[in-house]
Amino acid sequence: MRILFLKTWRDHWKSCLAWTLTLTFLIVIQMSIFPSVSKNKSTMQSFLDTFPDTIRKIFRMQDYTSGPGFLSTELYSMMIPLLIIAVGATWGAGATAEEEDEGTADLLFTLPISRTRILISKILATVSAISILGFLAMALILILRGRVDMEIASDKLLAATFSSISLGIFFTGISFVVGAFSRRKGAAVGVVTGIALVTFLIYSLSALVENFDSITPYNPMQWGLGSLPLFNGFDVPGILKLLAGGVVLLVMAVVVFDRKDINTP
Amino acid sequence: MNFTNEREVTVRFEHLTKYYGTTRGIEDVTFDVYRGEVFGFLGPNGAGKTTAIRTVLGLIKATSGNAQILGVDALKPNSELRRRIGYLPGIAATYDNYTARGYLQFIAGMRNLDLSSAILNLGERLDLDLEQQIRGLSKGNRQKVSVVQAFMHSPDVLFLDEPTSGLDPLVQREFEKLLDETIQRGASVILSSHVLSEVEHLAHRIAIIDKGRIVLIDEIAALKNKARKKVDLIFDKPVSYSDFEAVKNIEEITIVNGALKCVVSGSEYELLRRAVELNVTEVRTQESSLEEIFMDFVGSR
Repeated sequence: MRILFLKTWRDHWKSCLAWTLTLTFLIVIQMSIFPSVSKNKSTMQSFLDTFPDTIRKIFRMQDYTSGPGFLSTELYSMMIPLLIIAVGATWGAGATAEEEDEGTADLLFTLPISRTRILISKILATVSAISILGFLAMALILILRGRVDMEIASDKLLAATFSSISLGIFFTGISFVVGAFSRRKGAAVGVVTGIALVTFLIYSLSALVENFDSITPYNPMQWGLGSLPLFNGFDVPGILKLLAGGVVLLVMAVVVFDRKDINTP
Repeated sequence: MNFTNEREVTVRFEHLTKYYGTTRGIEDVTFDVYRGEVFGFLGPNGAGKTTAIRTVLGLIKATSGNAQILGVDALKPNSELRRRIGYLPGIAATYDNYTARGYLQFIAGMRNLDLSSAILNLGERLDLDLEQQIRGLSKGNRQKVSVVQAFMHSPDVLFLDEPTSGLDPLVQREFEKLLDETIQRGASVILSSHVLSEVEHLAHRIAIIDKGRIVLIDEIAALKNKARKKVDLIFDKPVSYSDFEAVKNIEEITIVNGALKCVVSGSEYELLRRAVELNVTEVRTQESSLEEIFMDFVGSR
């Protein structure tokens, strides 16, 4: 299994490096802006007050000039979770669909290693990638917080990191299921991205649209982002729902894949 | 050599059937492959060769029927069995972001084997540059990588799906030597092709599959014996159609300038005995090629 785990990393290291650089760039830029926000609290607040209520609700702009408020709005309510989800979606959807798409599945699945073990190796590689990105973001913020005089509690940041990674694991589950059914990587990535965007849109609008109240408890984005972990710490039920859902989806992917006819290009 | 008597069966297809929904893949495919033989698996493109091989290898699930390899149920996942199988897929795709050596070592690693020396040896024999990135290799060289992959772990049963496509004649000769060595050590080879001439000098027996069904299984030598032969006979005086009316095994009889032209199926004994009685002076025979036999079977259906 180790050899396939390493191969998955090898196949994706270039894109992973690109995601890492994007994430680093994003965090450094946002952190460098923070002093100008925190030092001009009153000006900033009056500026923010001019924002329509709708926008403030959609972006959960709560206490924007504080460390948790700033990080929550700028990074943890959208950018970091979606980036982590994107990595899970591309690695997961490509795990089997890409092998079938390119014809390499035929040999791979006749080698003396079971389909389940192959899939588990790829799942572990994907989960390791999104975890590394999640913790890298956290480490960067911890390193930079002193330089920009940001007050942010480590445990709250850890809580937000866990929620983001759990969200990533849930969508990795979806991507493996879609990948198991699909034979085209492009289509699989498209479907997972679509699900992520729709659920995110519903989550964002749920602050405004009452009709969404009935589905909000079932929205994975709500489980990962809804409790605002940078303010309120670990959302254990939310994280558990995401992890349990992720595990169920991953098991489903393994079962589906174990029974399917391997496609050729 | 008779390959059917008291030989150890290594691969057994038993009424193997595969439907994709309502679309026919293969139907009732039944044959045995023996230890130490190259078994030619022939059929036009789309006839079901690849489906049969992919079913027995567990890549696609059989609709009904059974298959055994080395005495073990081949339709159930079995890592121990897979260790003893080699496979060169019809679409011999490899991981482009590896060098040839890196890719082969990855496959060896997946088999939990150190095959460095076998990779080196086979690479040299097939004149393959192992340090080249696969992305930059020609189609023929990519095929060489797949050939090395299929042979490097000395499998007991080897499935080769259209293995020589893209190989130049010199490499094909080395490939044939490899096949010969493989059966000499007691392995079985199932060699699929849509071109009979490609397998007729390699295989001991062949099966022809068409529209998903096996239409013929026979030894190459026996097939050649059964082949229809065109025979021209010239006599010291003109002959007529009635001279040959009673002769068995001949058809398409024509008399041209007093000489006989006909087609013989099976034994020529009766025709030649009659010809001697009629003072034959010259006999010209032209055997049907196996390609024609193949086309006869496939074309007539």
